[in-house]
Amino acid sequence: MINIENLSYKIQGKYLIQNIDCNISANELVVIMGANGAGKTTLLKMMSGSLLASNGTLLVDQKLIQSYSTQALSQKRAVLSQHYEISFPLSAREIIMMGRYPFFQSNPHEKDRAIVEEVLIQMEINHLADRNYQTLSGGEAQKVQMGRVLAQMKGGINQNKYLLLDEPVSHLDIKFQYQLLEIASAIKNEQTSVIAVLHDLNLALKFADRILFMKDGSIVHEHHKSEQIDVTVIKNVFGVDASIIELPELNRQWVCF
Amino acid sequence: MKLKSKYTFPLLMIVLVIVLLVSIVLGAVSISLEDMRLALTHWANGKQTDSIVESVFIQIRLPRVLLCAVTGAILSVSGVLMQGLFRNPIVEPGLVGTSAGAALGASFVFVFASWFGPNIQVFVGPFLVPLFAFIGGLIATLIVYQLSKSNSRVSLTSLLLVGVAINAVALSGTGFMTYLARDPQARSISFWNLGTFTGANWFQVELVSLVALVVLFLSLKDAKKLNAFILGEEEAGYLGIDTKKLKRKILIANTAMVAIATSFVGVIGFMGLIVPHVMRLLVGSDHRKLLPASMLGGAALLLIADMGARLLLAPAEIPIGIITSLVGAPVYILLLKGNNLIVNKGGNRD
Repeated sequence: MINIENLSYKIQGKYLIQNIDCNISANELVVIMGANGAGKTTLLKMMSGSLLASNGTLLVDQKLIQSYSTQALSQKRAVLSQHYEISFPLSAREIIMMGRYPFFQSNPHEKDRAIVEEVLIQMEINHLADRNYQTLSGGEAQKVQMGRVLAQMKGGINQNKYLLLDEPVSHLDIKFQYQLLEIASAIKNEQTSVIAVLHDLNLALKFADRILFMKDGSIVHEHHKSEQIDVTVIKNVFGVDASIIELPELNRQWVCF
Repeated sequence: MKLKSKYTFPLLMIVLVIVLLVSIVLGAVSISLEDMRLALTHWANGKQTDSIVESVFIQIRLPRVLLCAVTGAILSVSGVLMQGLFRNPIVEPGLVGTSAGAALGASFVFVFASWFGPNIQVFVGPFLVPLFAFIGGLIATLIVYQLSKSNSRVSLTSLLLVGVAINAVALSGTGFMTYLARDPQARSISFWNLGTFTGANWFQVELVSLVALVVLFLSLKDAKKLNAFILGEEEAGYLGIDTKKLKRKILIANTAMVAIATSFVGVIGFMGLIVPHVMRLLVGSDHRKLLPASMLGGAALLLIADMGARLLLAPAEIPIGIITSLVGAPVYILLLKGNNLIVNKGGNRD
């Protein structure tokens, strides 16, 4: 679905992304991890089409990402960013409806309204629907924004789609961290993939089909779901010593720092 | 808090019609509803009238009231558009330099047109002043927008500071024009710095209404895009909106509208601030409702201000800009104190 070849991004003479090669297929949840400033968000923005490569190519469905129109891309991928700053009172429902904007001209169709209601229930934010977004707590706001991108992923033309999540669980409590990632992994299917930046290695290990470890703008290691996680990689990427606990009864590994 | 929009619009329209009628009735010459009816039938049948009251109504009062209503609508809609563009509720055409720049452009023509002699006047005729106002307004607005933007975000502090600076430059430019001007011109420039509807005529009403209608139509078409812009420029892009094109379109259309109005009636401050703020409380931030509501509300509010200007010290007339600033400045301070003031008020908005 996404094919990245020799991708670099340079700004003011400094490489934020350097010679990255990777492929992301449908039905995959890929997590990107790395220390602060490793280039995770930059890579995500390049996949979203908002930053264009200085070198190399980024193909979406075998076509250069810059060859898509803004409109076409908006029906194909959704992006959840880290921060939102909203200076006008809007209800949560109005924000979620924005996720449907790529799909209607000036007034929402019946289907768009139905999708918004469906998302409200799915994200368990029905009670927030008519609240002013500006009065929501950080976690509540994050759920509303997640609802918006979920609404954007639904319906529309039958085509490959992908969802980009930049630290989607940063403000959420433990229950919702798991719930959100469960929802994220539930949308991946034969036509959909999910790419997320996470900071919690154990959360990533539980949900990711693949983890890409980034350092200084490059992918230094790729971890596949079934493999044993390597402590030297963790040391290299994050600069911390870790030990691995096997949890055979859960069929999982647990990383302690 | 939020009224059902089902009731809001009919209510706003009724208020506007009442205010319009009262504005026509009250004045140095009082005009009754019966006079209006007679004058309009005469006018519709193409008959000349020798009644003074009817002439006052058709030639003076009606164009003045209509110009005032349309200008009020323009300034308020412009407030909504600018606030959307800058993503900030305290922006208005007076603050970001549009009005002051337009006033400078217009006063430039005012002073120099007579120097250049009648040739230019004949060439572009009555469009000369609005044209220069547009150029002045656009330059000022662009400077403020470019300078206050860092990393694709408009910082509030730099916006305010740059706005103050550009306004000061434009104001001193206008001051310089006054200095250059001969006495009668100078008097009208300074009067017009504070806004007035005294010279209203039908040409102005027609031109301003035409521009206002076009801009309102265009911005209503882009209402959804303006909504998405609230999320942020990049986010709007993710939702399929060509933000560069939207910004360019809004900036030019809005400047044209404000500049043309300013070139006829002078600088009237704070309308673009108060009206959108109140309308957001009434109908919410969805531009599909906010734009038409601000249009109606703005028209009614400026008519009320103009009645104050005409009647408070009658037979003398107070420049209308003084009245709107007197009322608007406190609202502005209130808004500044809280960006959080708006934020915290939200609560359950049912």
